[in-house]
Amino acid sequence: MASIPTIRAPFDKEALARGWEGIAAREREALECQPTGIAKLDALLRGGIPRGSLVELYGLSSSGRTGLCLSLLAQATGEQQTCAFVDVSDSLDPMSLAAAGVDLTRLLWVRCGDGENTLPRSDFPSRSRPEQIGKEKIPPQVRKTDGRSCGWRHPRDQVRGIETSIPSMMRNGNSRNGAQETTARNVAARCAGEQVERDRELPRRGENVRHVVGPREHDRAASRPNDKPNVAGGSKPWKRLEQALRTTDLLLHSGGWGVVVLDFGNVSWVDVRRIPLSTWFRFQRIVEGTPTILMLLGEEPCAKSCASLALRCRRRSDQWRGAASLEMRSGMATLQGFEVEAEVARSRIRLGHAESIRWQACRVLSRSA
Amino acid sequence: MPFACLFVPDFPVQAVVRHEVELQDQPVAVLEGSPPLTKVFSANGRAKTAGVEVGMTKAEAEVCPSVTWRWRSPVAEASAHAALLDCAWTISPRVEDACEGNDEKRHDTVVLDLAGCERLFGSPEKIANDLRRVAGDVGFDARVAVAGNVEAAVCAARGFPGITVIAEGDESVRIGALPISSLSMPVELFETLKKWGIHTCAEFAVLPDVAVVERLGQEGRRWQLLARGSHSKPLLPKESPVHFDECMELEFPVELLDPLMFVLNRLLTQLCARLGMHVLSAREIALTLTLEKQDARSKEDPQHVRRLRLPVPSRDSTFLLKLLRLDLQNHAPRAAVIAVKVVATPARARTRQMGLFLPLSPEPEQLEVTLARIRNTVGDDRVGSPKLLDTHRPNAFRQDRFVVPEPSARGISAGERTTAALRIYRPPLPALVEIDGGKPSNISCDGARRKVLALAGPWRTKGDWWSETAWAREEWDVLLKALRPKYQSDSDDEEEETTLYRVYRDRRLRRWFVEGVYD
Repeated sequence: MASIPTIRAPFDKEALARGWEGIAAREREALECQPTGIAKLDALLRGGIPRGSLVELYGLSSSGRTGLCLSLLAQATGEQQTCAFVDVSDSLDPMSLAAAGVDLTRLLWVRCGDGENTLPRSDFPSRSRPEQIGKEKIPPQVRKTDGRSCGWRHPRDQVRGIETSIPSMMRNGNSRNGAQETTARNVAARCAGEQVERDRELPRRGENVRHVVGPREHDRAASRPNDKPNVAGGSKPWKRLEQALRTTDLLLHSGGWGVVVLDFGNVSWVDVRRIPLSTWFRFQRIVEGTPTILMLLGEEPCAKSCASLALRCRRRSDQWRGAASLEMRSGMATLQGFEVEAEVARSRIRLGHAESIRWQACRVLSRSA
Repeated sequence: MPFACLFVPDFPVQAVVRHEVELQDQPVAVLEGSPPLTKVFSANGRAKTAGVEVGMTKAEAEVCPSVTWRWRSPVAEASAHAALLDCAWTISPRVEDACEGNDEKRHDTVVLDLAGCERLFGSPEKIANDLRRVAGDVGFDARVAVAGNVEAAVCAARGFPGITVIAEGDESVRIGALPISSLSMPVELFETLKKWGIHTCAEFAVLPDVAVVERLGQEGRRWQLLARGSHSKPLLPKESPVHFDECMELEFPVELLDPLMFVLNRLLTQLCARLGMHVLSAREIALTLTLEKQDARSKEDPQHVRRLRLPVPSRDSTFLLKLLRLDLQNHAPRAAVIAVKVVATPARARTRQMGLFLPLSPEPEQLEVTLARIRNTVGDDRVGSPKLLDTHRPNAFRQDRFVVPEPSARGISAGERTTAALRIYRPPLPALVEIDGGKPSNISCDGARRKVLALAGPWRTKGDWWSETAWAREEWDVLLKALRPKYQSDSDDEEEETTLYRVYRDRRLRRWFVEGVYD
């Protein structure tokens, strides 16, 4: 299958011949680039990631996308730039950052969440605390003002929190019918003044999204209604997404950043795609004309035409030292790493002819091997 | 050797009014004492014109129309006195605090030595004008006098309105024109002189020295020298302050943030003006809010203290106000506020040589405001730069306050490979692991059961065995079909989704967890 640049080339030629320069892909030479740290990829991108653009880096879990992102951060911080990492699901590993060569003092790490995951405790998980895993806790901002006479509650802010109270009121005495819950949530959101868009009301199962779950697994999951789907952001991530978008907005407006990474890696792309496209358009307009790169890291592309460049990563093969199968003896194998393939899914700028490149991603402990 | 005196008339009123700009053109009187013994302690000129006199009871004074009443505030007076000293320090380093020595009435007066200042600031008239302007910047309508000795300067400042410059040798003439009431002498002495028919300093000055000593003693002699403008006293210079503070007691408890911001704005404006007089900036701001007592049995008012350490010293009151607002939004006090105190720790202002080729970094002030806003969004302990701890404990890190470091020589070259980063689940996911032959064969986590396709391990680690925080674990790298399968989009090709996980067995808890995924 031909790559998008290959398909676009004749169209661009025709557009330039007719004087439609705005439609034709821009020439690469005019743009300043940030090298990614992978020579082959930089050659493919003709210098690196273009500055002043919104870039998408996507792929499945274990596809090598995070490693590539850390490599970019290592390059940027190595050039004394200040970078930011907005971690939607609080999943960044500082050890991996250090192993990738990122200058930690030049990286601002913002961990989104509702306060349930604080800094790692020295005794965590401890004997006395395993039962608390997964329990919901009250966020600190709410806890501080509850039941107090003070706390800067302006009268116009008194309605805040109604979106949480109305569903509980409607749920009292009612059955847990899915349709009723849907109504309750949407009513609550509207009472809180939130503009509920059509595509954010509730999951749209069966339209153009299908969940790959075997029938037995589905039945098993349905038989345990109390089990929360909490695997890495399986629960509703709206609050964390809202925090991340607000944080990114603040960072981009403050200016002076080399690379700002918005990490949706552990959030389902179905949820990420419900972010209005106007958000990405706004972000793209903010970084346009500045030296800042806004990188979205996720499962699937979500910014569509707002992204100047979209890179897709895949894991091609794993490297295990010794026998990799289950039949091997315990203690005789180590995970060396895996091979990553990246391809340019879309680009506004004209690139080289190679469609994809491959490189090696090494496990931290075996990098020196 | 000339001396200048800076005097603020009706000091208790001006100490209150300097934080309430709208009252500067209004008749204002300050009350003191608990009811029913409340009396007028001080009143400004307009209030005196309206009929208010010092010493009147509140009931008598309330007859006077359109007078604004305020309670006397010792903390506001202390702040105002410190501001007055700062005004004097802008001109001379040798400043005497006239209120020292248990003379409480002289909070309103500071004296400064002008020796050598003519070369820097010009003539005594110009210095006096500068002093009055600087005092106006911090909200005082002050009087300034320059004379050849300390006491003559003080007498002239108290006696003459506006600016007074007395040439060398003219002290007796100029001071002589003043009424003896301007000398602030004891009441008994004043009454005695009044009975003698003496009303001006000149009349007192011409009395024979021996006769004055015989009738009034050495104290009378001292007051006579003052009336002649020839009483000399050495100036006792005061040390420069270590901290700058501004205080304000509120008329009524404030429960909302917006009204409090108006108060803070006034205090910070005054504080920054004072720092500017010393060519200093604030390195740290400490805000102390005195709260309303909720328990009547407690003796002391509870306090809410917030400290802001600034990334770079600053005396931009707008910037400081923004930071305090964001901090208070996130750390609201638990009761209404009745008094506010802002203390600034001074530091030299930031000097930085800019360049064309400096690396890209945010402006420190703008960055601090942005970080405060982000902290309000995600929480205090979730923003910062990561720092690895010096331990073998897994996932051991802390987040330090993010400050843009100075540029340093550090480079990194492009290579041919990257690091397989680990994406960590916080907290780790509890899992059930089926063991076959000492190795994991199936993993159940979050309602899904997956067969292990490949694995490596175990990596056994442990530490802190000598303490209660001991840990011991056994790590495995496993290849599984994804625990949370991705929703398939229309563009997806059908490929088997396998993922590399790190799982571990906590050997102390005897439980298995999924720690993260390699990515």
